[in-house]
Amino acid sequence: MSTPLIEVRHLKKYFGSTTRPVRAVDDVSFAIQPGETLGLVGESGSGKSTIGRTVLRLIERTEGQVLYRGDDLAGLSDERMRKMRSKLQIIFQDPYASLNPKMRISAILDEALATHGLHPGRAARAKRIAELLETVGLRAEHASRFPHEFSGGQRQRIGVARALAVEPEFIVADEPLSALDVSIQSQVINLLADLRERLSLTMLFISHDLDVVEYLCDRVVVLYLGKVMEVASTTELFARPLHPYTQALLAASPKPDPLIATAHVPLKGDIPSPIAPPSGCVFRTRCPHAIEACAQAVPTLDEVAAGHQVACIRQELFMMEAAA
Amino acid sequence: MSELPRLVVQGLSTSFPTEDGLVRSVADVSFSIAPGKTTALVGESGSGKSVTSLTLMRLLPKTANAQVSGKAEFGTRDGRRVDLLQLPDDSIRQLRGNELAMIFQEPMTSLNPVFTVGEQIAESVRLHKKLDRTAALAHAKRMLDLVEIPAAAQRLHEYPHQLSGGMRQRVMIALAMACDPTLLIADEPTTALDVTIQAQILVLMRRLQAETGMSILFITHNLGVVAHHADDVAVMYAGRVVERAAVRPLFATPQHPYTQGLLACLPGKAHAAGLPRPKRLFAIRGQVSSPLAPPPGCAFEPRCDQAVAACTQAMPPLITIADARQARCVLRSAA
Repeated sequence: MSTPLIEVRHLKKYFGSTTRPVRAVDDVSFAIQPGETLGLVGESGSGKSTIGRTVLRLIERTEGQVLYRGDDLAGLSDERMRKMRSKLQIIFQDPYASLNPKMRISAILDEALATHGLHPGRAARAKRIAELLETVGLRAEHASRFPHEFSGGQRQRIGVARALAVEPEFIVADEPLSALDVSIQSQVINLLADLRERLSLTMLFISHDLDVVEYLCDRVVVLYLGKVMEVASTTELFARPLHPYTQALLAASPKPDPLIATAHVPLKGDIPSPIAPPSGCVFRTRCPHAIEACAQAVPTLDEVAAGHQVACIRQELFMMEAAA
Repeated sequence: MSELPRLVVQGLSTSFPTEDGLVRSVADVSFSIAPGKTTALVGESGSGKSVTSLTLMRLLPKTANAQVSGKAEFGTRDGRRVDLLQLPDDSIRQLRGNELAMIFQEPMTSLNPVFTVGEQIAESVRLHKKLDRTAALAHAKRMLDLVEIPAAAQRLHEYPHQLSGGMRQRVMIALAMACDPTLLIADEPTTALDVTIQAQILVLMRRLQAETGMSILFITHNLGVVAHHADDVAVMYAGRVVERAAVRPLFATPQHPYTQGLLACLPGKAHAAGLPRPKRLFAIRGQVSSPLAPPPGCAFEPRCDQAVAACTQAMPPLITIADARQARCVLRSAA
């Protein structure tokens, strides 16, 4: 396989005190190939947004490596990292909070271009801004407006335009749809899918919405309490989820069809505190298949089929079921 | 058993005077809920579903100067039929929190942060059931047990900030269930929760409904939840009901172009039934028009792919197109 565009190795991000830290991300590794869209799935507190931000060095990691085309981003000086950011961009969740209400759209996009010295000259930048707005399905005359003059879906398009302004190779999309209504969501999903193809973008798509992930992503990483539970191609993961947490997550997400039965026992209890995660497997306190051994050691992420990795010591159980 | 519906809403309209003119948030909304059944009000932001519930509960702030018309006939426990919109303030106060209960989307902002959860649950039974302090607190503990909160006796004396989001929503449900309501209005009760916690809360609500026979008005934008937890559905768009049906026929053969679009643009729905992943999702173009400048005819006409000339003439009426099915569209003909 070619060199991954982004590779995350043993990434850890702890917050707060050194004695009892919040283990937001705890030893997470994955790689994203050029042109691939990797989904990062998990519930609140699973560490998915922290990973997105740590990868881009919007927050500094505690341990581990983030490689961009084989080079560790952490080694870069602030100045070189700033230059690097033209390759690495992010789309934020809340289009109401992520656009400066005092700036016109033209100024918001112009700032991105000017920072990276792209399209020098006012006229050239104005042309590029018009182009960008059209790329995301808005009109050139929208440039002179302020964020409050737009609806949520349009604002998210502006967020996409800002990320695209510097012609990035890699985009972290951090729950870009969750603030939008269903009918607007599908417009933005189509936009992201189109742009990804046209501009051959590589994407880290962070979401709690499994249906959207299934639609947009090539591969999926399932997180729970800062750890990777399962990694597989989207088709494989949705057809044959092997980790009990992935199975529960899929079962808990109601399908929009009354004829698809959802006869399942929901998971008991809440996600434990990341300050004092359970020993051994972090999922064991809610796992219907937990045994004593689960409390002893942290399960390793093992490859059980080509490209399908699972962190669970009770795999025999599911492999048998799958074979039966 | 041919019981009367527990709630019959007819021609409900709620308008708010604003500096820029009258905003009709809810216009001519009609639906009913049978005893022990769940009716879902589905719609996107601004469709008027929450204003509908607040109007029914008479919880709109006085300062909003809401202009309300229509009827909401509710069958009380003692067999009377009362119009919720016409009842004097003290009578509605006797029903609210008692026979009529409500749970909200955000449990943190709907619980009082300076009282323990036990005190908050006890307050409603002291008021409505005239229990003394000790008996009310004992009742509160039973309610926490009922909603499956572990170590209820201890949780009783905790404050809302000491509980997780799922626990808080359980407390909200315990609070709503304290006086054994016959109608529960649940306004996006699981929207702020993670899916595994959402599943727990939905199962709990089902169990309580089966045990008590209460009716539920379930307000949500989540069509997955509607598919599995509603008996009847009313789809709202721009303040009006555009389609009404039982849940299965609605998902099988949606009749209004908006309902059709809404279902088609779900990535899960598009992908269900073993079909390959479509290259593009269906998208409803444009956005909801401003309530200050509604289109002259059908509110959905500017976004509708099937629109014809007649659509711009006048707002189509909600017509019955089949048994227990209604749609507000000129393309559908009356049964």
